Amino acid sequence: MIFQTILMYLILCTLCLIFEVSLKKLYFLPETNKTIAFSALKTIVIVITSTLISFLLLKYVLIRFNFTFILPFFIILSILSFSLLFELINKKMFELHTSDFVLCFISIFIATSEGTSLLNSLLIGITSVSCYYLVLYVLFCIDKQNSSVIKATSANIIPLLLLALATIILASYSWDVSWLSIRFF
Amino acid sequence: MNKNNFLPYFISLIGMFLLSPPYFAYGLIMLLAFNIVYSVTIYFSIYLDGIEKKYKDLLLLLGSGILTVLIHLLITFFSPIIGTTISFIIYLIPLATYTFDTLLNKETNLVQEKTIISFKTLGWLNIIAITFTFVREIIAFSSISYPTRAGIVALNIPYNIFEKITFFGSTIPGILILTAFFMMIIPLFSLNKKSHKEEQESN
Repeated sequence: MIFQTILMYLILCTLCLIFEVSLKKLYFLPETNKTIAFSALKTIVIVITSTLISFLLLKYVLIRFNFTFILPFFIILSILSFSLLFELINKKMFELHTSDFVLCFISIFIATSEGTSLLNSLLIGITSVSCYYLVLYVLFCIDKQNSSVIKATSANIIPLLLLALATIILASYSWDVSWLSIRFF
Repeated sequence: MNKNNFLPYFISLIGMFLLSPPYFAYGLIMLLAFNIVYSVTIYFSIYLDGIEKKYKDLLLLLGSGILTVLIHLLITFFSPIIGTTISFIIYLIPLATYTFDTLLNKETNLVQEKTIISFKTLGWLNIIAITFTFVREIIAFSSISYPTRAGIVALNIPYNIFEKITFFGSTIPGILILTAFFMMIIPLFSLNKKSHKEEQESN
């Protein structure tokens, strides 16, 4: 079950490919490996804590009082409060980035709505974020290759990156995923 | 928004519409909600100008989030089917609005100038979003739809010129290719305009 969840959310149903959260990151590409590492650390901790709070809130309060439609608002609130907490610790390292918001929001929303238990939700959230940073490195490689060939401006490169992303999605969809079903496992 | 800095705006805007179903009706509803939230946020942002940035961001996102909840309730009241379909996507609007506000703050600090730039940007974003969602539905389903209380009504186009790519147009790779095409086309327009102006000035 754990292996299946990781495989599904890391490779096949990835956030970046299905929900296009990487689009914004294409423009706001971080500069160094250190920045990416801190960004990843911050995002993972925010996703873990917010998923925990959102799942418990959904299970014990919102479903009971039939207020589930308000869940996304609470997710935004929890992301904001934890981001601010990180900023208070060290502003330079954990600067609030606009593109990180969407990633956190979508991964927490998917984790809370698709997770069957608290642990499963946390696993989905962590896997989704890690997959995003994996795809980011692939995009970096493509970006570097493009920069060496054509004149490097974001207006030239982003459409090419989008086409590369489309090719990656087509390649991953061509793989038959029916064997992942529990019946064949 | 000009030729040099249109990309972050475009990406933030399109990121919102890519997630919605590829129907013009949903695009219209999303755009309506976006216009209300963005217009209110502009004034709210000007009102909060003296406050420290991180607290201002918090208040802005909170305000736009509460407004989005209200708009979502109104949409659900108008049409429960549409309200349920865009239940999660509509909450990307406050996040996109926050991005726009951050970008606008980099451009200017003057209140009047900021208001004019914000509403000009909003006008351009509306034109781009309407064109994008319209073309997207024609390519994806070869129809044009509009929202009603019972959901959406789609009118089929009698001569389907995109018959061969209809299936591909409705998938995510197809939409990504369309987005890339839009990204390449829009700067060309402004580039032509500029060069035309330069030619006229030189004459």
